[in-house]
Amino acid sequence: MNSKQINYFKTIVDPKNICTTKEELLVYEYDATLLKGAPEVIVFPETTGQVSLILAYAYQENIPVTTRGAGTNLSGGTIPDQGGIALVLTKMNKVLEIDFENRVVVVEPGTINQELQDMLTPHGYYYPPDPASMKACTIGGNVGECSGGPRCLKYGVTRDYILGMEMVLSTGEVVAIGSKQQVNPDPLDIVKFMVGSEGTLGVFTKLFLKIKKISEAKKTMLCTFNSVKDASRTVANIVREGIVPTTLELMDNLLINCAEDFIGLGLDRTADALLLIEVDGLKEELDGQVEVIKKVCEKNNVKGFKIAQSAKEVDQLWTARRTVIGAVARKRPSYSMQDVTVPRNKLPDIVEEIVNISEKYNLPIGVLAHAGDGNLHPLVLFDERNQEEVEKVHEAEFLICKKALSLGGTLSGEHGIGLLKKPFLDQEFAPEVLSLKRQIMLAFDSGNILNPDKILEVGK
Amino acid sequence: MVVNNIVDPKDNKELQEIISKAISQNQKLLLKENLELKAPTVDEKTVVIDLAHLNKVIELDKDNFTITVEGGINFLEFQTLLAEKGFYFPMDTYASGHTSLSYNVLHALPSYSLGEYGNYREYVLGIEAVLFNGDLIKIGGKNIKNVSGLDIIGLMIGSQEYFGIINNFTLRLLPLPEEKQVVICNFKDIKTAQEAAFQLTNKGISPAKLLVVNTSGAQLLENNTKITKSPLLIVELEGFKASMQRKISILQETVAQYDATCLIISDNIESRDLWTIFRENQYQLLAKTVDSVSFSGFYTKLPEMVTQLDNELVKCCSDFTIIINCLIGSGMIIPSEKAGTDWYEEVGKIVDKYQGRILDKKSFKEPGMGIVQEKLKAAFDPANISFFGGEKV
Amino acid sequence: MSILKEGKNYELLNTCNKCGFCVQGCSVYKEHFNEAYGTRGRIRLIKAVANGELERTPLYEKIINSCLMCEECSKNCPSGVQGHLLVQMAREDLVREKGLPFVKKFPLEKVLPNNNLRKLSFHSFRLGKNIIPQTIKGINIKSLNIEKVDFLSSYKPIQKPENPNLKVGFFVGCMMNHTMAQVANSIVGVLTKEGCEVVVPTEQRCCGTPAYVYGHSKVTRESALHNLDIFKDVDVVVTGCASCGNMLKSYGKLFPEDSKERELIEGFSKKVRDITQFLVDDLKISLDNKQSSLKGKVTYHDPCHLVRGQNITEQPRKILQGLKGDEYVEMPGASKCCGASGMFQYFYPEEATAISNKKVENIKKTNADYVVTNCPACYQRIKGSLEINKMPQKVMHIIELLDSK
Repeated sequence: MNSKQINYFKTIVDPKNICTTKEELLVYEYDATLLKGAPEVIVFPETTGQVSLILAYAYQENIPVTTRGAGTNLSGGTIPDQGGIALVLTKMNKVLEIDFENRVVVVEPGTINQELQDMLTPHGYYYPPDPASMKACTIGGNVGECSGGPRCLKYGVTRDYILGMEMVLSTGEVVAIGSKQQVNPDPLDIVKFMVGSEGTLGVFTKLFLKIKKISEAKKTMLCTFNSVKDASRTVANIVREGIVPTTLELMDNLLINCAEDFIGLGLDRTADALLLIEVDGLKEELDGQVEVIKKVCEKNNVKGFKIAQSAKEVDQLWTARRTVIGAVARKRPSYSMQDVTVPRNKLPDIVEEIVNISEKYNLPIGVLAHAGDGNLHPLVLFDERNQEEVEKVHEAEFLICKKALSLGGTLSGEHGIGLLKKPFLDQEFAPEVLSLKRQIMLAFDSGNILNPDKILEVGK
Repeated sequence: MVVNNIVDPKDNKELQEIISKAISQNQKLLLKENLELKAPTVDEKTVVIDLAHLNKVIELDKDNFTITVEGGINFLEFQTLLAEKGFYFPMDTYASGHTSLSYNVLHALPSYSLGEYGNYREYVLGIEAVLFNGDLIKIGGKNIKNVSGLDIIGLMIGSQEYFGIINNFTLRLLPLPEEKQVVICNFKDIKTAQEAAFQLTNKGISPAKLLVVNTSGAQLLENNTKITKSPLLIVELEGFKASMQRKISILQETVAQYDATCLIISDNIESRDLWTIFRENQYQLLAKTVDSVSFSGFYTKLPEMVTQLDNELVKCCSDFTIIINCLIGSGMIIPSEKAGTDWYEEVGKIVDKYQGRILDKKSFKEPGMGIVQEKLKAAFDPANISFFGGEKV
Repeated sequence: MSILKEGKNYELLNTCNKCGFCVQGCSVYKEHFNEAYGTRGRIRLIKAVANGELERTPLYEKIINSCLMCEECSKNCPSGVQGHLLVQMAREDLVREKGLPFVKKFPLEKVLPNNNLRKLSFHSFRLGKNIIPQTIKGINIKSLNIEKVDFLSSYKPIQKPENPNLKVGFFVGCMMNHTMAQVANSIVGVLTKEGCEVVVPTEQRCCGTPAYVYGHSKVTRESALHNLDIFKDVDVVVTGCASCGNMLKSYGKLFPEDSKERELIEGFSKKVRDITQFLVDDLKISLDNKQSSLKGKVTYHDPCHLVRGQNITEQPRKILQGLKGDEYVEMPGASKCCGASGMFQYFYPEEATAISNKKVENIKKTNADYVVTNCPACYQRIKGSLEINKMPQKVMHIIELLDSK
C-alpha cells in the first residue's frame, strides 16, 4: 500500500484509529497459532458507515482486508498474510439491545462473549455458545468461525443462535439479512451460511443473537477411567441410554496432570482419562439421569465417580477445563492444537493413532475432546525455536488429520480452516466441491479482497 | 393437468444422467411433490422427478446415533421406521405423509417442533447431492460438528430446488423421549390463547410443540368429538417421566389464568392419531387451495397481530385457517378455498404493522443480496434448469 | 548483552503461546482495544527487542510503561506466564540501556530511599498543593491529605502489653507515613490491644516498590538489605499497605539464587504479613463481640497487590462480615485495579481516569456508605475519584473499623 492509500483512511476514521507504526504492525501479525504475517495498516472502525467506506475503497484499490476481533482464533484465519488492512473491530463493542421477552440481543461484533453473558445471567438467560476463550473472544469472531464449546452437544453451535445480521459486502454495500425474530420465513438461509465463513464473505457490523433461559437445575459429574477406551465407550453408551448431556468432556492423563498443576483440585493424577459430564433440565429429571450415567460408567470400569456438590466445585471443574489448554504449555515452550472431529464411536481409534504418532515422533501429545460430539483437540507440545521439531509437528498433525478423515471425520469441528488447514482441504473434499466453494467465495467477493485465499486459494 | 415427463431414477447414477440430459437439452426440472403443493404450470418438456425408488436405508448407526438414507424415502415412513427402533428424528411437518425426505429438507418445510428442536441444519450431517451444474458432490459425514470451510449443506437446506437435488442424507438422530403427552386447551379467543402460549415459553417446561390455531383451525382436528370448536392451544410435552407431572401442572396453572379448559391425551395411539389427522387436514387444505402465506413475528406482538389477522381476514375474504408455531413465533395462513390476491395484501399490511416478516413469494432475495444470489445461482445452475429458479431470481 | 536475552529471562519470554486469554482482565487494553496495550502484545514487543527486530523506541517505552502491574494477566494466563514480571524485566532493560528520565530517576533513586529527602519533598508538596489546581491529570490533589508531621517522626512508643505473645515490627510505608498517620496509629493500637509488642523502627526505608516497578531494582535491593537489618529482631513484620507487603514478601527475586543475601532476605520475607492476614490467620482474633466503628453499608476494594500479589481475599472479608453493626455488600469487580498504580496515574491520565471511573460506577452499584480497602494508594485514588464524581461514599482503611476508640 502507498501513503496516499493510507492517508485516505484517515479521512474515514479518526486518525487515532489508524496505526502504521512498526510496533503496532508487529502485534497484529499473529493469532493464537504459530503462523505470522504483518498487515500494512491497522484500522479500527467505530461505525458501520466507516466499515462500508473502508471496504468500498479497498475494493476499488484492490487492497486485501483481514477482519479481526480479539485474535484468539486457532486457525491462522486472522493473520493478514497478504498484507493490506487489518480491520480490527474491537472498538465496535456495544451491546445495542437486550430484549428478554423476545429472546433476542443485538450486539456489535467486538462485544466480548463473557461480557454479554454477564449482562444476561442476572436475568436468568444465557447465550449458549461457550468457546474456551469466551472471556476474551468477541462475538463477531465467534460468528466468523462458528464457534462451538462444551455446551454444544445439547445446545448446538453458534450457527444455531444467529438470527440475523447487518453486514458489509466486499464492495462496501451494507445489507441487513435475517431479522430479530426467531425464524426467517424464507427457507433459504443466507444468514446461517455466513456463520463460519471466516471473514471471506463479508464483514459483520451488527449481530442479532438468540438467547435462552437458563435451565432450572444441573448436575456435574467427574468420572475417571483407567483407559481412554473405557471413557470413550462410556460416552457412546450414555447417548444410547437416551440421555443427551449438555457436556461430555474428555481429558487424557497428560492434561489431567496439567490441569492439576494449574488449579490443584485434587484430580486423580494416575487416571488415564477423565470425563466431565453435565446434565441439565428440570430438577426431578436429573437424579434419574445421574443414576443411569453412573451405571453406564460402572459397566465400563469407572475408576472414580463423583458428583460436584456445590456451585463452587462446579466452577472450579469448569475453570480447570477451560484453562487446561494453556496449562499444557507449562510442559514445553510451545503447543499446537488440532481440531479434528470423528464419529463418536471412532474416538478410541483416533486416540490410539495419536498415541502411536506421539511415540513415532517423540512428541508429547495431550488429548482433550468434546467427546460427546467426537471433536478432539490433540495438543502437540514442542519448542518453536527448534526447526527440526517444528517439521515433526507438521508431519504429526498431517497424519492426525489424515487418520481422522479415514475414520469418516472432518478437518475442523469448531476452529475453522484458515491458513492452518488449508493445505489439507483437498484431502477432505473432491475438486468439484472445492471449485464450488471457490465460486461461492467469488460470488460474494469478486475481487477476492476479504481475507483473501483463506480456507482455499481463490485467485482472481 | 397432464404431465408426461415423469422420471423415477433407480439409483444416483440415473439421477445424475437425468440432470446431465436436462442441461444439454435445456429442460426444466422439479420434484414431483410440487405438482400437488404448488400446482405449477408444467409444459411437456419439463422433467418431473419422482424419487420414490431412492428409498433405501443404507446404515443405521446405533453407536453414533446417525442414519444414512436415500432421499426418496417417504418422510412419515422414515419416522415410523425410526420410532420402531427407538430413535427419533424430531422434524414433523404437515406434508410428512406425502413428501420425500429430500423434498422436506430442500424446502425446509416448517416443522411443528421447530424451536425446541432447532432446524434441519442441526440434523443434516452429511449429504450427497446432484447439483444443477451436473456435479455429484459429497459433503460431511457422521460428525455433529463440522466447520470445514463454508457451509454448503446449510446453503442447500431450504434452497427450494434452486441449486440441485439432495439424494442421500446422513442424519443425526435423538433418543426417543421416555414419554409424550398432548394437551389441548380451549380458549375463548385467539388472543388469550396466544398470550398463554407466550407465558408457557417462559416456564422452563420446553414443550416439543406449542401451536395456536383459530376456530377454523380447530377443524383440523375434525374427528375428535371431545374438542370444542374454539381457538385452541395444542401442546405436546415430551421428555422424562420424572418431570412430566410437574410440566402438566405448570401448563394447567398457566392456562387456568386465561379461563381455558384442558384435555389431556396421554394415550400414545390416541395422540399419534390426533397428529395424523391434524397433518393430513392441513396438507389437504393446502393442496386444495394451493395458496398460503407464512410469516414471523415478535413473541410480544403476536397476540395483537394474530387477533387482527383473525378478525380482518374474515371480513375481507372467506374463511381462513391460522396456525401459529408459538415456540418460534411463526405462522401460516391458509384460505379455505382459492381466495384471489386481496387477502394476501391484507396479511402483508397487518404483519407489517406489527414489525413482522412475511415470506415474499415473489422473490427469494434478501434485500441487497440480489447480485450475490444471482452469482450463487450461476455457480450451482449455470444452464438455468431449475424450474423455480427462473421465476424467482 | 541485554538482560532480555539472558538464559532464564529469554526462556520466560518464549513460554507465551499467544492464546490471548490475558487481555480478558487487562484494564489498560480495555481502554485501547489495541493489541499493543495488552499483555500478549507487550510480550511480543519485548521479544522483538530481545531478538533485535525492534529498537527501544519511544512508542515501545510508552507501551511498556502503560502496564498497571495489576497482575490480572498473570492470574489469567493458563500457561502460567507472569506477564507483569516480563514487563518489569523490560523496564529493567530500558533503565539499563537507556536510563531513566529525570522525572522518574530523581524521585526513585534519590528521594524515596532517603528518609530526609522524602520528608522534605512531602513537606514541600503539602505547602505547594494549596496554590495548584484541584486536580492535575485527573489526580485529585486537593483531597490528598499530607501530614504536617509524618507518623514516623512523631511516633512515641506505646506501652507494651504484659507477656506479649509476639514481637511485631510495624512497616508503615511512605504513603501511610505521610498521608495517613492516624491509620498507622490505629494499626499500632489494635496490635497492642491484641497482645502484641509493637516496635516501629523509625529508620525503616521505602520498601522499593516504585523503583522496582520502573525497572530500577538496584535501588530496591539496597532498600531490601536496609530493611532486613532494621527488622532483624522481630518475630513478624506487619504492614497495612498492600504494595509494601507485596514487595517485602518478594524481595528474594531481586537477589541471585543460591546467594547468601537471597537466603537471608527470604528469611525476612517469610516474616511479613498483611495486617488482615496477621489478625485473621495468625492471631485468629475473635470477631464475635467486636463492634464496627461504622454504621451502614460497607463494601470492599481489593488492592491488586493484595488480591493477586499476595492471594489475600478472604481475610479482609472475614473481618468485614464478622464485625457487628455494619452491613457488608460485595461490589462488582471488587478486584479490578482502581487506576492508581503509582506513577501510572500521572503519566497515563486518560486511561487512569477511565479505569477509576469504572471503579466509581461499581461502587455506585452497591449503594454502600463506605468503601474499605487496605492500601494507602488505592485509598487516596478512590477517595479522590469519588470526590471528583461528587459521590457521597467515604473511604476507610480496614483497620479504622477495628479501632473503636
